[in-house]
Amino acid sequence: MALDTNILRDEIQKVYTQVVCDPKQGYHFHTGPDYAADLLGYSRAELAELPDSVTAPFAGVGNPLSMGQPGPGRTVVDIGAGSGMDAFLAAKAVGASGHVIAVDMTDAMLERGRDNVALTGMRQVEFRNGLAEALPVDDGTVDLVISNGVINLCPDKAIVLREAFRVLKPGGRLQIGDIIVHKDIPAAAREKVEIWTA
Amino acid sequence: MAAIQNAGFVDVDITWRGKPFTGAAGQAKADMFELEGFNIRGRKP
Repeated sequence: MALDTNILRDEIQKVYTQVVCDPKQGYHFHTGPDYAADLLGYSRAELAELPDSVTAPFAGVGNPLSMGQPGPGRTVVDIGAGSGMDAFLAAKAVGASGHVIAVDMTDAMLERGRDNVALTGMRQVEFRNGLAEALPVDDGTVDLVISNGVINLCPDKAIVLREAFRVLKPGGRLQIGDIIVHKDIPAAAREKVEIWTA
Repeated sequence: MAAIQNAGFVDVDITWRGKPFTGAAGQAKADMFELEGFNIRGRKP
């Protein structure tokens, strides 16, 4: 039986709703700012400037902005932004004249993200409901696309990458943190939702 | 990397590789699948 993308998305939404509601309960993956600083190279000082409601649910696996910061006034898209840790770090870099579009498909993350905009006063961050495979962003309008630990959860990675390409301006940059498995996973196992979310 | 290049990006390079599951409850499974974290970047020409 082929992987049902809708069931996969439902399961992903369940997991990450739990993460945003109770980020410290303990998951099979790490969460939070200490992990981000210790294993992924984030600046502890920069993270300390953000509220716990932004940093505690962080569950990325890389550090997209370590590859380059957007300049003031730039437009950034964060694919699968979650509660927005990378989005708010990008927002500091682009400043009030910039724009960070934080895209997520999980209602609880969007709600938390919008609360975090109000909490931080960083109005340049805008949370939009959407899928990585169909970004709610106009063609050729973005300077930088970032993503952290999201594309591995998308069955059709080529579509996601084409979407990133579509929304970028010529010369725009893509910076992704993610994971890869080097061991072959049998085709039958790849069709099991629990393999994707565990 | 090939998937990113196939989407049209150029100057694609990996800047970091690591083990984001080290010490996590899922480490054993991550090790079983030889899972690796990475940072990768590219540019739209």
